[in-house]
Amino acid sequence: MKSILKDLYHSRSTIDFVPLWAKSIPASVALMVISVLALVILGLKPSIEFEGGGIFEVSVPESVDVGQARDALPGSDNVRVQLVGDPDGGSFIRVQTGAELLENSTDIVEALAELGGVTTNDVSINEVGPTWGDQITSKAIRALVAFFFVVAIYLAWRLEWRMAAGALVAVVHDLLITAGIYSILRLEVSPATVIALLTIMGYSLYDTVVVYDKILENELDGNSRVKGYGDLVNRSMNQVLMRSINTTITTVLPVLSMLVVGALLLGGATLRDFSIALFIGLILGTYSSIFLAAPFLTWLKNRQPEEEAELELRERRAARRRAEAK
Amino acid sequence: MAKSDGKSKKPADKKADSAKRSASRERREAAAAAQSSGNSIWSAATLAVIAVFGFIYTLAVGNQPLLGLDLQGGVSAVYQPAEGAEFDEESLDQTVEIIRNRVDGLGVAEPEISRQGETIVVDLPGVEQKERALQLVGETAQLLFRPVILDPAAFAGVGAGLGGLDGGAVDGEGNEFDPSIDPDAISDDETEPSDEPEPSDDSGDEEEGSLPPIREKQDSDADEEPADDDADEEPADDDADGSDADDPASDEETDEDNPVIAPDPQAGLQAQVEAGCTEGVTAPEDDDPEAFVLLEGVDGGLYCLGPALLTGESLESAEVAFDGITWSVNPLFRDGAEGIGAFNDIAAICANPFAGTNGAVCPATGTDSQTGQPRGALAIVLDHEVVSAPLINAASFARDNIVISGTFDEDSARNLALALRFGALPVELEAQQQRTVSASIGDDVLRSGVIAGIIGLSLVGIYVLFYYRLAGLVAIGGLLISGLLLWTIISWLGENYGLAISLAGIVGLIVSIGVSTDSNIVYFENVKDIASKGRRVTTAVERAYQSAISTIVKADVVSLIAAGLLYFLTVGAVKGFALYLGIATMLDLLVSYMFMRPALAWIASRPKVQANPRLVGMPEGGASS
Repeated sequence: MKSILKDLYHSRSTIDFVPLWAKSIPASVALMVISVLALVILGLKPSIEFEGGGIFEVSVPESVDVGQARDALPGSDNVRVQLVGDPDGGSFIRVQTGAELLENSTDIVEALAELGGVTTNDVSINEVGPTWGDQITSKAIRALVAFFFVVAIYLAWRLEWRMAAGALVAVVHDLLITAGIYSILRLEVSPATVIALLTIMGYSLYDTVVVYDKILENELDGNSRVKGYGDLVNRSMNQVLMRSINTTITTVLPVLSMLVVGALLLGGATLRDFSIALFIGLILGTYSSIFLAAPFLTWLKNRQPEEEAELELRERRAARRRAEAK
Repeated sequence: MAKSDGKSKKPADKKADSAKRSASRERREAAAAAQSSGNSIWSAATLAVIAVFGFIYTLAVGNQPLLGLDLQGGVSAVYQPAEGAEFDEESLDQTVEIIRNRVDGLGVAEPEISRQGETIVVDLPGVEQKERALQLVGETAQLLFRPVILDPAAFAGVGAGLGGLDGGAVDGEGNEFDPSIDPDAISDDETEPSDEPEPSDDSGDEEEGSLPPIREKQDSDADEEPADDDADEEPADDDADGSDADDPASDEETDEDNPVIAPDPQAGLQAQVEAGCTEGVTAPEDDDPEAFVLLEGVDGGLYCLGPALLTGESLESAEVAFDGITWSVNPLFRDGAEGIGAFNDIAAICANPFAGTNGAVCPATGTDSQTGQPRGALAIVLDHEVVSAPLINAASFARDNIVISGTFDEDSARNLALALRFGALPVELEAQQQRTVSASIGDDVLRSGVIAGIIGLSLVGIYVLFYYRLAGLVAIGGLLISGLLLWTIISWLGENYGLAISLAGIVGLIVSIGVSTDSNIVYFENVKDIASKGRRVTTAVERAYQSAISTIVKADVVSLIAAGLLYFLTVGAVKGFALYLGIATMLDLLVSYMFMRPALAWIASRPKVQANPRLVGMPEGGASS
């Protein structure tokens, strides 16, 4: 074990990824299928921002409990009342209502203000019309599609189209599985979650780009030791492995601290929303760059006729020489 | 990127072999490296100095990041045109402008009102009267009809005609009450005050030819005129008798049976007027519909106005009309007591200011340009501004037979029609999201975000120091520089453009800690890779840079594409997140270009580090061992 770490540290590891891929690919495919099934059958649990409705929050003295709050509220049928602890002492009442109750929102606000012994100005209100969420979603999806398109072009230009395809496959994999986890665990999807998913997308690509760039660099450098593309990828993976691990650690650390702080501190609800999705996504992003993007690229490359590959490589080398000469 | 040599050899041979083969080249490179790092250390130092000075400057001028309302409490609302509403770019921009004016009256420090496509986002961080703010912003109709108590000239001597609500013909042709309206009123903005003998009461001495009258449309003249004459006396008297309240200001203006405020004796009115109109222009927040106020007109004049008699609610619609010569506006009141009924009750009073105590509510401020009869004027007040103050020239109107005529050109007629139709906003808006955050919750969110950021940053710092030893200092230095520059940029954006940072933005920044660190890691790993092949660390630092920076740029460009697209294609929180992610990524590029290599080269060139590369987390270099 220690020697493996030492090898890793010196980027001398000689892990053979090919047999691992044989396991990771079916695992990824299975997870994606499960995620799709979960999304189709269970769906996602949208927050009020997507469904329409209201969230009302007020800090209350410690003596107030949920029952009291419920009694104080007018028309409390379709209302969810939660008591959230406040580390500063006292606690928070959080009331969630459906869109149909929004007409009574003034009553709810007044009832809560009375409960907390504060003015209505101290009650936090978030009221959302029923169509707003759809618009956020459709805008986000539009941005996503545009992003895929632009990034595919960029990567095809800077790397090559196979790598662009591989990177996008990895991103879809990460997004899909993250969404699947949200669906299965019945986690609420809020706008914060959407932002987190978009971040994951960026990260996953970022990670894959670093890995692919190393592969491309090694390919261009050329090396008689290389036996086929699989071996080249394998060697490149070993070179970037430590970077992948370190990067994951340094990106996950802040996210983890958001997760912990968000869970412990009041007012951290949004922070928690962000960090759960980010946490899942970051881990998946690293995983997919090594265990999905790399084998996918190898598979694509191996299907390419050899002469064509040879020709392409020669052109790229020439292009690089020209670039360096400048 | 230099070709790595000796790759075809067995690793064991490689070290010695390559050491031999490239000994001279190594020396050359080391010299070049030393020189280049000697030059580029300046770029690192420059960047660091810029960062520090930027930060000091920011502190010195007192710039601070502007906190989003989720971090400091406040009100946020998102509006979109109501279903079926007609709108275009221009009317949306106009709407934003009007909302901005309304908000300005609230005294919010940093309101952010922006239009994102069809969506209008209003953020009012730190606003205290939250409910009132939301009401004020979202309300489509802030249109009030108030009687003009003293004519404008009494205040500013401006008193230009603003158009007239005219029961007569648009152009006055064939209207017996209106012999002189058309040519003068159309062409003459400053009007002819001297034409008309002015029988005004409390404002007495003022000339008032300028207030164009409200009349009925021509075609209905025959039917309505007799009624006018009756109405001149009757309804007004009824009102006066029926509800002789002491305080006109306390009366509801849209009261069904008696929408008109019962007049007081003149003396009482005088006192009220004094209170409301002598203190200078009434500030928007003091503009109480039930009080006497002094408001400015779009013409620049000042108007002393009585309590509102009617609101925009009573209107159904309004159209512009053009007869080939003059523009006019035809308001269409709603049916029933609260619509045209209420308006007619007022008309009855204003058209006969000398009947009974009518003058106390709607004193004569001008004369009918056709009949020379004294008339009261009803100001149309939009968002605390008098848009028009036409005389009322008839005591009773059919709801679809009212003309406001006067000195309109096409634009001013259209604007007035728009204003009448939608209240203040040219586009009917529907609130999509309304959010108020209490200051205490905002504080908690901010605190948790900052704590999470500090803990995350510290953990990352500890990790890179542990793993990369002294080289970790480069990563930390880069993060510090980014941090200082970020603080400066965010404060600057907040101060100059009112761009607030929200929790989503903070998350974007926390996440970018990872991105920045990764750039360093990519570089360090490259250096290690080359050093492990037997290069001096100083050489490896130079050689690894090119391929590292190429990777960093590619990866950062992907991030920038993401940030840019998200910024331009989304709304609300996502936009804020994208902006700060984008800024952080650019700073990462900057730090990677200017700071990372020289800083590492400087550390690597210290004699102690040269002797023991482990100090920078590198393996013992072949050439130096």
